[in-house]
Amino acid sequence: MPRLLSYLLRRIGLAVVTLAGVVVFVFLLTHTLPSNPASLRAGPLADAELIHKYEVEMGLDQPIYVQFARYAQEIATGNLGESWKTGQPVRQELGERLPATLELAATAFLIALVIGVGLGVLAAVFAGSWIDQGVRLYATLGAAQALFWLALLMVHVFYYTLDWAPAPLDRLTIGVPEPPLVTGLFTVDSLLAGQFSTFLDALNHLWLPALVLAFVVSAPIVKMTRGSMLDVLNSDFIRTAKAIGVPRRSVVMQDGLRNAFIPILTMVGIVFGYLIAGNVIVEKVFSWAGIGQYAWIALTINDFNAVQGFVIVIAFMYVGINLAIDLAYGFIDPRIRLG
Amino acid sequence: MKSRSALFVSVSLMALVAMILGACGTAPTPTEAPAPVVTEAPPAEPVGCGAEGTIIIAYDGDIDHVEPMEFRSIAGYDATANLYEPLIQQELVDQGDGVFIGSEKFIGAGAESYEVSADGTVYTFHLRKDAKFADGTPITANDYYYTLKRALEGPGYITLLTGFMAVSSMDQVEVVDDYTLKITASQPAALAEIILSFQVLGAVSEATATAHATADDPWAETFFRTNSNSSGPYIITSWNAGVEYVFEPNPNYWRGSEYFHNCKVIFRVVPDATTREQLLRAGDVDVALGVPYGDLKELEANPDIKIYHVPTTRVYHAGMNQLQKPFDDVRVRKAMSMVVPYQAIIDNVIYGYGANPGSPIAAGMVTHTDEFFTYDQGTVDEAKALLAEAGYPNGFTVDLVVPQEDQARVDSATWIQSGAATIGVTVNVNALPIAQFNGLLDGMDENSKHNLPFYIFEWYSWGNDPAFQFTWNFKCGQWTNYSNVCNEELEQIITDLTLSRDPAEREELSKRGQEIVVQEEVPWIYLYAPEWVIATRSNVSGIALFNDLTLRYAFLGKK
Repeated sequence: MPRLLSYLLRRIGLAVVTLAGVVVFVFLLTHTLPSNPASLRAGPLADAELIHKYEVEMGLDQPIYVQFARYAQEIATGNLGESWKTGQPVRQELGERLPATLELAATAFLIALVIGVGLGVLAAVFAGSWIDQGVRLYATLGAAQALFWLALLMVHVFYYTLDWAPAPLDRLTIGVPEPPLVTGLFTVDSLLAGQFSTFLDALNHLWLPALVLAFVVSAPIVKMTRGSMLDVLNSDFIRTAKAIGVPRRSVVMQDGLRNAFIPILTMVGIVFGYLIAGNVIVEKVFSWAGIGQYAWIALTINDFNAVQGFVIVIAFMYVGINLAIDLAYGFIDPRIRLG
Repeated sequence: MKSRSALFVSVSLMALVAMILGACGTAPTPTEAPAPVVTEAPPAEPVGCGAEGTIIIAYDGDIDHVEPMEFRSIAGYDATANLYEPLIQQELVDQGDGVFIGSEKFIGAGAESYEVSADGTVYTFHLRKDAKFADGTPITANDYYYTLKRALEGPGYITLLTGFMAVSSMDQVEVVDDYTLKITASQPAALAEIILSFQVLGAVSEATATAHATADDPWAETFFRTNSNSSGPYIITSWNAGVEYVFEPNPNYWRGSEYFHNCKVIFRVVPDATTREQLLRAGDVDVALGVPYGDLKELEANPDIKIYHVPTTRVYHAGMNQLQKPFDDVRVRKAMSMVVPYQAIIDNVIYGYGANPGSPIAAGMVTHTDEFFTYDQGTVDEAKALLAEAGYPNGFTVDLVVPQEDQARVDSATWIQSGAATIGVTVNVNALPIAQFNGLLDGMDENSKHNLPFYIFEWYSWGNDPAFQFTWNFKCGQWTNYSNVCNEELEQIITDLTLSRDPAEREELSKRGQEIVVQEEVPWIYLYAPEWVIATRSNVSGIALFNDLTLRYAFLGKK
């Protein structure tokens, strides 16, 4: 596969350039805001002398290009610097919180994909019927929903009123020990350790925030699937397939869906952005200690390194996912040349 | 100084009796010796360690670190208040209904007793021989010496506090023997007890610090950010950053087990206010902090919930920068003060959970008076006339900067806007993220003067004393004097207030100081002094308010 390899290298090269751009951009953004982290670190009870001492310690007294050079050097060696607020390495802090975010986002994404594609296909197959109307209503509601409000409402209904969901306090019930660390995903780690009750507890905490997030994220997937599916179902080759007597189920699921998948796949990359933005909100409401909450706090106090670290991690994931999607095109549709 | 100080009180009756006897035996001092304690928290019944002995608190913030000498989050100060034992502390007075409030009297904490020389310069502390760190090593005068050294020469901001007790060098601190420490102030220091009672001067173990110090980190800050060798009532037994911290009684704490009304405090980070309320309503947490004012009335009506609210001297104000147009004319500052709808702000912004302080020295701080505050009687015509005299007959336009995270401040800005409109002044409310807000507030012009014209800020002096309040906010050239007040007479008053130990003289000085600030300089529009609010389940009691407004966990218990 020399062609695939060269494509891969080219894409990776492009990804590196993109990430470098992200680093420069976020660095400039945080450093040009009218805010002095040294002053914030010194607290309200400060004087110019103490603030200056911290500026020197944090390297903020240096020209911005020197600061950038230092930061770039850190990044190149895989460090993200220290949070000035906690004094801990940002890489460690993000590392501790990333699994919580991934577990929530991945679960929400899977749910959204199943719901989104399922409803989208249904709506397309029964286009114009009441099913179609219902699905379109769902998609409109999902797209129009203020996630913050929805999350609060769901907590009120499922936790406070119905008592079906556990207290919205992070990932496990108070007092339940975390499973031995392997992946950091509690559902996975608890199963690996054979702790079935911990697994159930983790799942119990996961379903409601994941559903809330999935509802909003599934809306664009529904719309895209429906539209794409309709196009395909109305195309010549489907008509031909129907005409020669291929069973309807086979036409829809094999020929139709496979061909409709390309725009859906494109959508998936975009949906990832929704997921991360939505995560910040859902994590806040459910006291979910993921990187979204971490970034939010860091942003309000201008903890430069923490904010930069978060953006870089997200950028990595974004670039990685889009790279994977591009590669996936080739497998779904051989017509797309990797060149 | 912003924020809390530390004084803990306490206690088991036995320890108390011992303390009073000790004080009487060793304090032949003409000045104030620790007064006998009249009221105290009752000793706790033995608590079981199941749910009945566990207090779960939903916090509105996270502990960033627990290094006692560096500035930290409010939650961080709550944590350290329970980890570090200062030499002395405020005496607590039982208010009934499970509420205890610190008074202006000081009693021994890490020190069994102390004496002050007649001229108010020499402080001699007799340490407890039974006090130990969490690791079992005794707390000696050397440890308090090291703690002061760390404060004076170490990493953080504490030198800004020690200045108030006229101590700037370790030459002024002497270890007389293992259990006697002598501090000699360079001049009489009215505020020495207040400063020494602060949690930030709670004992740090020298041996522990030395064991974790490195060449790059001589004060072992890295270690103390996430660890402690507690000299105070609690130890942290579980640290899960961003999620949960578990506090359990320090088995070596000198006050013994009767001091504790719980056997475990679980600190949970719950960033969303609505979620905290839901958790409290459902009974999944016992205490919720940071409940929005607007929701309190409804919660108070809930029989399962109790709202504790106690007045504080935290002063929210709109600052007007005296060196920036148009506020460089005092008539403009007065006119603006006359048109703010003060009562509407109390009613609609903090929903009655607080009052207008009418002075930078709010009710609850010694020497408070609001007799100089007459702006609420001002009329639109008077204000217009003042503006015309100042050369603004048609008003002006100005930006009012507030931090967007604080809804009460954003709301207050809107009320100021509506009041200003009545005299033709257009106020543009500029709500910014707190980091940017602070950046603007710290901003300086070419003469090293703060240059933000109009902003809403708040100030709380940990020591709860007018000397602090005047110094931080109105002393010439002080970093935190954001409105650039600089008044010769006030300078002298501030100096005298800091030195004088005579209550009558201080009263007089502070009164004149308040007159200057409220009537003559007019740097602030007084908005509100909010109450300290804690929402709990109705079976929870034991709320202790020291003048640093941090939660002392030992008092919290379930009926």
